[in-house]
Amino acid sequence: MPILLKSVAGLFAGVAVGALSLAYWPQTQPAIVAARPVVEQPQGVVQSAPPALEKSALDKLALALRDIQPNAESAASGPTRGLTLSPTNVDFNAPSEDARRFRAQGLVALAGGDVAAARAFLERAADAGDARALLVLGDAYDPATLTRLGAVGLKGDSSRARDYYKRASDAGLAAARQRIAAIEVSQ
Amino acid sequence: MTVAATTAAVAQTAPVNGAEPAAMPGAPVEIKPTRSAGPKAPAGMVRYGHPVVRDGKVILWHGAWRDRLKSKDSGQIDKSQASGAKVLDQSAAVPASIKPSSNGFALLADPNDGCASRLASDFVAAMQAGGSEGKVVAGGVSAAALGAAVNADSADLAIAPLDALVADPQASAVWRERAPYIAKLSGEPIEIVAARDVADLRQLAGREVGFGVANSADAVSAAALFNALGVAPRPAYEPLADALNDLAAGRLAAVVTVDGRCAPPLAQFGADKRFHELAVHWTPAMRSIYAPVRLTAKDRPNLIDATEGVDTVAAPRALIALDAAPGSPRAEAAAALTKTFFQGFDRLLVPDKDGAWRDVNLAAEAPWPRLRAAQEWIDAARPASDASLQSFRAAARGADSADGGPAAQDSDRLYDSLMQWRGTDQ
Repeated sequence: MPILLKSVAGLFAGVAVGALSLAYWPQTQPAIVAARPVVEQPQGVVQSAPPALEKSALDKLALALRDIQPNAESAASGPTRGLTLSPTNVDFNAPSEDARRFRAQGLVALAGGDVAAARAFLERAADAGDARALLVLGDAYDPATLTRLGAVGLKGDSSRARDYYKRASDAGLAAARQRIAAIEVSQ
Repeated sequence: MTVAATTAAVAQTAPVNGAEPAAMPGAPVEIKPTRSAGPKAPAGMVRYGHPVVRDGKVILWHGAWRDRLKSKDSGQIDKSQASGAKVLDQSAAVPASIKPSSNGFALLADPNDGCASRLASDFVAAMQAGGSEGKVVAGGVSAAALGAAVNADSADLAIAPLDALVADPQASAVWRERAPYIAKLSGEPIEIVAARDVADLRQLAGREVGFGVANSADAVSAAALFNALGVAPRPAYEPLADALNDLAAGRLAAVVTVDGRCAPPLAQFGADKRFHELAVHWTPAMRSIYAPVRLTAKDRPNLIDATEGVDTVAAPRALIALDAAPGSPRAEAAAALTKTFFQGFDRLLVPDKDGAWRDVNLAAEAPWPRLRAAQEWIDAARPASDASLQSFRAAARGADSADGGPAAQDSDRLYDSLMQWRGTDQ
């Protein structure tokens, strides 16, 4: 009988130890998100200097200012990531208060280097009929502006900048023509 | 209790906007020490190689006989880690040297957030190409989950939603100094999908709405947004695919996600045209956190009519350093990682990486403290600003600091300031 009791007690003890071991066993489920290999060579973040204007470039600039051709490559060809380009049938002569508020917010974001947010606010302003927002949108994509602003890593998009400048020019902003000419010179 | 454990305890008492569960069941599932710091062991015990955490507490130790040598590496109390945490056990032993171990750094990302996971994977690959070994660990990104990650010693960096940290006073109090951002990343649109008879998100008050998995980016951004809007739905925590099934079956009134760009279930949802995207209208009160976004039928052909656009807002994300208070050894370690990241940033701008990297300006400012080393690197990398640029920035700061933010009447003054800086000769 004592042997039987010892056996039963030993069985209970074993079960208890086993249960505790399972309860406190280290939980080390692997869940590493696989990293894709990178094969390209390291590159530094380099700030490009504004282009120097030589005589040939100045001639090109003058030519471009006289005759600015529409950009055949639509800005819509790039990834919009949820943003839409401004409609072309908007009356830009009298921007609403909302449009001007969005433009102001976009300019604040641009000054703070939050270019992505700036573009979003300026898109909204342009959608609401603000021509000046179109020009600032061009600046927000213009590599030359971004470099001078002190953007780091962000490359800009000359094609999209040119498209916005063109639309600002069509809406009557003379400064936009000069911006387009500068892009022509830099390319 | 150590600094890390204390942090976790504080964080777990700070649910995001009251909508999160207080407990943190979603601790990172890849738990691997990245440094030698850890909680003080009970007498006669030493820290186990893999801290085992349950409900935010280390629960498993092993006997000192298993590793007597390791028990000797407990060194001086690192008081520099105390900044930002009010409740500290100064008797806790924390090793003096806290740097990424030979195992490399660990980057925490929400596994339910496909975009964040993709960014994290890209980041690790780029860092490895730059000579810094590391890995992605999957886990929640709520304030409580970040606390659990620190407690479990499982992550050095995180891709975290900034909206929840900035908007929640309790989360902000805990993390503002201890989780500085390295770079602001692109935001993702917050999408709210509902049946077409729900025309306005205010109709969701008191109704059950899918918030994604608890502690996920979806959950914390949804909570922060509804809190900002003053609308109080009842959160239901489940994966997006399950939530969409429940929405289709009428068991949920709506589903919220910030991962629409990378979420196949949403792209395929709503072919029967019974559902649509609800508008979230940007207001000046949102200006410090959210930017407006307009979704179109091109983005969601099943949920948005071809001739319409739906306004919403983008939830900001950031790469943050965890438990890296200014002057702490972990801030130094994060500085080394930051340098590698910034110097090799162009590796992320190639076609096989997520396109969102191409929208990132490393110098972009966020309404959150930046890691000092990151700011110093940026200041050294960019050209000196001239007087006209400084004037433009000053005008912008002045407009932004006014009550209600920049107003319509500021638009022309700021535009003129931009034109003066930008000129017409470039």
